[in-house]
Amino acid sequence: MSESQVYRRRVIVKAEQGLHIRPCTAVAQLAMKFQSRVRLSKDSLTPVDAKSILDLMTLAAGPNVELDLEVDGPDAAEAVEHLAALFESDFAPQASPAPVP
Amino acid sequence: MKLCDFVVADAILPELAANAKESAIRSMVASLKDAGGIQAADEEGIVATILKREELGSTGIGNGVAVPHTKHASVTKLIATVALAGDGVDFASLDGEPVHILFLLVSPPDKPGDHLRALESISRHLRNQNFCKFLRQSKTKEAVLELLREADNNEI
Repeated sequence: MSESQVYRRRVIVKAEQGLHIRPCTAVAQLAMKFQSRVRLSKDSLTPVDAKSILDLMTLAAGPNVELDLEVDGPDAAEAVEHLAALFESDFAPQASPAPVP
Repeated sequence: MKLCDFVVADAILPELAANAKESAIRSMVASLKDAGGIQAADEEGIVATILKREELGSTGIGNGVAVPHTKHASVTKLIATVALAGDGVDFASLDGEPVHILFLLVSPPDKPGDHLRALESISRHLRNQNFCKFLRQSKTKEAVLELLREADNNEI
């Protein structure tokens, strides 16, 4: 049951310069530590793969833009918390989650 | 934003011979200077700030692509150049692979929105495998420019 649950969270881009390459890299690197599928969307448009820096760059998300985070997979509950915390911290380095088994 | 709006046509380097990150960046900035995109007096300062940015984390973002960039007060509008490295450049990329396609951006400090829009344009096209394939096959400035135009017109 828990494996099929999709976790959703509204996150806000706090970075003054928006979601430029460094925040995109931070998001992708964190997302890649999880097995779950991690996607982000802006303005209810087609979600992009949050494990791809190129995909994240296409969001062109400026400061204070709201994005919808959507995670599904075996470690989705943990992933959504870590990713939301990354946005909340304005992309400060995060405590590393447990490695993917 | 269209690629041709900010890529300086005369600064395109279809056959970048550099094999290291610093020499690749130096060649690209020199090409922007030679094309008149930046002043000679600003060349070294721009190289230095791009290299400093790389120290914060490589802009080699994977898939053989790098987007070295900086903000610099000497430019009033965002400019960029494209370089193709057939032999690949070691860019300390996130996926460890050599880089074959480089977009180097210099943007005015007071226009972060333009920087984001340029990144959006570049990344949107680079997600298109045909665009990447044709770009890597381009051997002249004219061929690269034509491809950028076709990409801008969604013809790829």
